[in-house]
Amino acid sequence: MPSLPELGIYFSLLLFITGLFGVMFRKNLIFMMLSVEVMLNAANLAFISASSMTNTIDGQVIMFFVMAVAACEAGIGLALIISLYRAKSSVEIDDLRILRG
Amino acid sequence: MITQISFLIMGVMAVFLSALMITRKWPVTSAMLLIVVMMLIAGMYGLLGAHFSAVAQIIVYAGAIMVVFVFVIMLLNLPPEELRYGRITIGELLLTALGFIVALFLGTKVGQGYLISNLNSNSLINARPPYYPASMNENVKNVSALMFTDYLWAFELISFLILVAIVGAIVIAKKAKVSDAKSA
Amino acid sequence: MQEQTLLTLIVLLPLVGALINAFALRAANVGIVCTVATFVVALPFIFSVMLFMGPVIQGNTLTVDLFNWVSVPLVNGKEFNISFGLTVDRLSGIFLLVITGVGSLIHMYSGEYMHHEKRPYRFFVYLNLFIFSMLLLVLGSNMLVTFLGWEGVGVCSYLLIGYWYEDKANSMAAIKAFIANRVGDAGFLIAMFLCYMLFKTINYAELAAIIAASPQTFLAENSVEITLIGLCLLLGVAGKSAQIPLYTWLPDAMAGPTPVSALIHAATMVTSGIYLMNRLSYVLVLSPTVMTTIAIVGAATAIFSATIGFAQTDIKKVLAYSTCSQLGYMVMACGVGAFQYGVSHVVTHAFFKACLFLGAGSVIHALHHEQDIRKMGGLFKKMPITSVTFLIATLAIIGFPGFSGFFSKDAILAAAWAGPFGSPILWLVGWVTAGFTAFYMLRLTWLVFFGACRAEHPDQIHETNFVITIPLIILAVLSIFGGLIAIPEVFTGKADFITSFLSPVLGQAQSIINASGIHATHLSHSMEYGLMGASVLIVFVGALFAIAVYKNGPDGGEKFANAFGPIYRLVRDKWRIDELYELILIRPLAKVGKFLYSFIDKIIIEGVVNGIPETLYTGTSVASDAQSGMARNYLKFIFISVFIFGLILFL
Repeated sequence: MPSLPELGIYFSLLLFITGLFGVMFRKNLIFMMLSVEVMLNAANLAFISASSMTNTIDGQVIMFFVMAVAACEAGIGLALIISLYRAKSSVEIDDLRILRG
Repeated sequence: MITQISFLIMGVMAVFLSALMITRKWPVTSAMLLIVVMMLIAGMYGLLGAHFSAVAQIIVYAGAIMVVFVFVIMLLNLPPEELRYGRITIGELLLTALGFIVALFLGTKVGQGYLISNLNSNSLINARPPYYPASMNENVKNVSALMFTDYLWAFELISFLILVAIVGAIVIAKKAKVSDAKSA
Repeated sequence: MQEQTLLTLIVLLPLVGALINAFALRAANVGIVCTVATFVVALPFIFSVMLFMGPVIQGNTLTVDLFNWVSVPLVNGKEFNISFGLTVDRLSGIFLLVITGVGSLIHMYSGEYMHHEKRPYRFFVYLNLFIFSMLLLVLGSNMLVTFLGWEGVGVCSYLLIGYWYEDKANSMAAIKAFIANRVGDAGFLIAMFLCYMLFKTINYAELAAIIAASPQTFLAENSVEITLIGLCLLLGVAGKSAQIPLYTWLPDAMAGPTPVSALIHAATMVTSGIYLMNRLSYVLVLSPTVMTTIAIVGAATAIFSATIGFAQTDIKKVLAYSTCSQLGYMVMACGVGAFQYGVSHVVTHAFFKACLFLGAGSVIHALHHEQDIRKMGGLFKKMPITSVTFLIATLAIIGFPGFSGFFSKDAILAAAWAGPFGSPILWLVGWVTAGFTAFYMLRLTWLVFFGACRAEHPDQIHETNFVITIPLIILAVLSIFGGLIAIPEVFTGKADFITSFLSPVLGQAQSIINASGIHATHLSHSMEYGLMGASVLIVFVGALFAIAVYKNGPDGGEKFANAFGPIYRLVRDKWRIDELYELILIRPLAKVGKFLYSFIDKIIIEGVVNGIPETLYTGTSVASDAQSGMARNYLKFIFISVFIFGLILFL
């Protein structure tokens, strides 16, 4: 049985992959944002596990900052979704194709 | 022993629930599931000795961010989204599994072979004054001691960032008024 | 002024004139353009006279090395140097006077002839460029500069023949001239290469020195190469001077304006072959085979083209075939070893042929571009000056006693009988040709100027401008007195002027002939008188016969023609030589060209040239499809690449 922080690293990895799949395979922007939140949480978990592994506090401090940034990003992302929905009445990512080559 | 089993259970459930979450039809269901996932993760933080982080996770993430998510979902009245269950082929499943296994392998490689061996010998970390031990009973004190000395600059900037995000969110989500359209 | 500067100026002035006309005087009227053009040819004439009075008369050679043209270090440590130099000696001096003198007269004439052209500057630019190239040709100090002028006159001939390019027939004639010239140029080039290979130099002075110093064994060992050089030079001469087999371009070249025919195809370009043979006389005489071939080619051309002149109805075509025939005489003269009589005939021919062409141009101009002699006649009273000058020139060309042509042609005929490489057969051919010449020239003169007027509007014909008639008068006078340079020994008691004048240049060839044991037959005075009498006799016979046949107009020829039946038709169609060339040369070449086009051009070259953009286009359209604007695809690719990157880094 590996130690707790190591387990934490593994779980963080699995959560990250899950979130990744969510971002890649869902069309709705809300779902994509939710999956991004999952990814961020996975990263936070990795930080905390690392700080526990090395007996320092830095990981937890960084986790705070990541959380704050995630909150800002979620806020602005949702605002964008709202204004997009108003403009296009759809929040599918496939409908946002104006920047094509 | 107990901590390990509970940690394991919490971790497995978190992974399972998040996998469930990304395959739901209704967005509200996914949001609820995500809240549960966050709570489980908070539990894992607590077991790892980051008490303050655990509580902050519940209050901020599950209590504020997810609430905003649910508000927006309900505001927009989004239609359900169908995942194409019927057409997932065996090849896709196999590839997914392969991807998981390879990622796990990579992760262990990275963790064991490279990073951890360097971490303990990282001069910067060892240069810390010795009054930052990860003691179980003084978590808040230690975190704040670090945050307001070594990471003060980042702290202030992050608060500024939050302010900017608030203002930005309001500006973006405002309804376009007629006068705005004329001046634009 | 320094003589070197004079020499350089002689060559540069026409070029400067051409540039001025081409770039500054495009909108000017004919008067200004023609004045500029004539000035830059008349001034070199004055300079040539000055040079003639100076070093040329004294027999010295004046050389100017302008710049180092080619300088290539060779593998064996030596260098391959060719300098751009100009040389003038007695031979170039004579040609200079003819080119610039007759050239400036013709420039003046064209001012009036091209009066109604819309953009006359083109014509005079080409004329000046032509004079420039011709001067380079005769003044070059090595074969490469001569070749530069050689090509230049070919190009200018093409430009001038096809001057009225809107009519496709003119362009085709120009192309024909250029291609025939090119075949000759190939001969010249090969001769130049062989010369360098054998003698390691193409500078005339050095070449002469090397040949003079070469032991007999060296020349005997390399006799094959030397014969080859001579034959290739003959090919070049045949191209430029319209000998068999490359003469077909000359009659078609009459499509150009008449001053062009006068300048290029009578007085200058076609004589460049004769110049070349004189220049390299010491190479040609080294091989008796070459000399005999040259003589035979010249004689054959002379009689052959004379027969075609019998039946032509275009005034300029008759003169063209007559030019061909006279050139045959000159080539034959060079071929029998009497190079100097070739030069004398060049000079006299320039005078009377230019006079004839300019007179024809005057007639054409007065009749509003009517060129068919069956529609002329009775012009003697209406255009007196033109008629008289034309008549004088005709008498000169047929060799009427006392005129210039008589002396130069008789000198050639005497040399044909008695020259080092001559034989009585060549004399016979030349004698018969003289009779033919008299016949068709008198036919022409009679039908154009005498008898009843068959023109459409007889009352509108009047004498042309003085700008046209003054050159005619000058040339007619020269046609009478120009023959004095070749008065033979029987009359003056000493060697004729032209032989002694050109002896510094041609003396080396003479000594080579003497050294090889071939001697000229010595003609006793009575023999010479006899030959002269024979030619005078046949000239009178031919002339009177022509007058008798055509006394009442062109119908007189009908009975004559019917008597000869099929031969007449053949002669009228120029012996069908053009058709023969078409059959055996042009059609196979066209087939080969078509095949090459369909294979190499279409498939290979267009495949590459079109293939590159097509591949690029396909590639870019594939690449631009990747930028679909779908963020999901972008994400997919990002993650896959990070994945692979991690794999590579950590495995």
